[in-house]
Amino acid sequence: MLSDTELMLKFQEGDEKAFDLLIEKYYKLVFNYFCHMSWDKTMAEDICQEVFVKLYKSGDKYKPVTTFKAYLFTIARNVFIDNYRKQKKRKTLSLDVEYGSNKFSDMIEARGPNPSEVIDSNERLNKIMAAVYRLPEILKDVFLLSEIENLKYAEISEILDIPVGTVKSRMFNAVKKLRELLKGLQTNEVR
Amino acid sequence: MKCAEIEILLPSYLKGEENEMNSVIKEHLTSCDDCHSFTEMMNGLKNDLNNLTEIEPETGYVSKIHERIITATGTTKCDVVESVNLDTKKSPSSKRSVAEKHSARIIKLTFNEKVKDLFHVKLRTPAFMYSVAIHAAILFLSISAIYSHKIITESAKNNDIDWVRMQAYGNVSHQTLNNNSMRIQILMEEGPVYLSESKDCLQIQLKMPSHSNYKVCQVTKGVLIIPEGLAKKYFGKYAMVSILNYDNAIEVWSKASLGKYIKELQYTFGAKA
Repeated sequence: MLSDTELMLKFQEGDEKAFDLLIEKYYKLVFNYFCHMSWDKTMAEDICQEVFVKLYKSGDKYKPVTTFKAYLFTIARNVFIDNYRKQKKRKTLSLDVEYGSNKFSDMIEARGPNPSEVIDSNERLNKIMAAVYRLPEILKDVFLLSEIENLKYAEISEILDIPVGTVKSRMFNAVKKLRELLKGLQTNEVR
Repeated sequence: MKCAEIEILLPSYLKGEENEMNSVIKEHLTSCDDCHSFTEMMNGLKNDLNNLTEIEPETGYVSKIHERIITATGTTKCDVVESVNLDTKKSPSSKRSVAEKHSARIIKLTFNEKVKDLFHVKLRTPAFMYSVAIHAAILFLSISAIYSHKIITESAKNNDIDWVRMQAYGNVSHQTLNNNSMRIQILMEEGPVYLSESKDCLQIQLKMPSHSNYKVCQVTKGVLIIPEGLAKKYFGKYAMVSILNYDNAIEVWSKASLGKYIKELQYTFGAKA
């Protein structure tokens, strides 16, 4: 099986099927990233497709000095920021209002062995994701890329163009801020 | 170590990233309640987030991306065409200063059934057509000997058939078949290409030719714009077209007598620049 870099190099040579394989592999990942960033599934679909159009158009610029995933998420983040600027405004989210609402659970499903556990899990995730959404952008970026997209700190450092040390300190601050935001949330997991 | 130093290292420690300080952190956590509490908080978050399932996108996203790529890379907008007078004996650089603006057009070839048969292509669904378009050139390259034989055989029977070649791949980024038409885009976002004429051939080169009889055309947003006069001459109703790709050049051949392969040739006109 070809690696991402090999697929990208094949695409640079004109192999369009290699590009399709990259779409198949990464579309859902980027789409989920946008869902968590925006809480807007329609917008996430739209800008996710835009990411792959941009990847197609700039495919010849890719050099295998960085991981493909980091390269792709750099494009994704730039597309997100462009879109954010275009929209000028972004919906504001009140944690109080969202607590207990099903808004985020419209998009997600929690794993659980029985329905009551699913509901509990959904509710808890709602609260956590609402708190994540309320994080300052620079902290949210790092937290989502690290904990949701499971990127390494070195990759996040490349995507955000900041030192690895800054990624780590932002991550620490993100968790610290989440602890404040989630204070009082009684769950078995989050204290 | 102080808590402030440990705290910065905790995220990567909890992420399982290797660090020479990991043993120090581990030891610190057994003796510091604050850092231990932070670690529990972070682990709790990780456990919760592990329950987060993937959000499913709408189906058909691959074809939607294909559509957007075609839209994004195949503009029908008019673009400026810089032209030079082929009769002049001036140097290439001064020729290019003699700029004219032409109406823009995008090449769109419609093949007849005969050509489809030659490529053993049966168009069924749009998705299949797309796939065929991308692989047609590879298919031909890989078994070119068979095709050549077939073409030669046909040529013997019909004097008006010399060859049919489809070799547009390396320098051509995108070929799509849609409603039996073929659209060709050059793998080049922006920049000049050099058009030279011969008796029955229009050669499109990505490098400036060594001779001086060429016209400069602009590739804009991946689309090559052919000046009106040349387009009529080489892509007329009776043109046979073959796109050859070698050594950084694409040749577009035409022969009026071979026009039977081309059912229709269409141009998409842009506004006058």
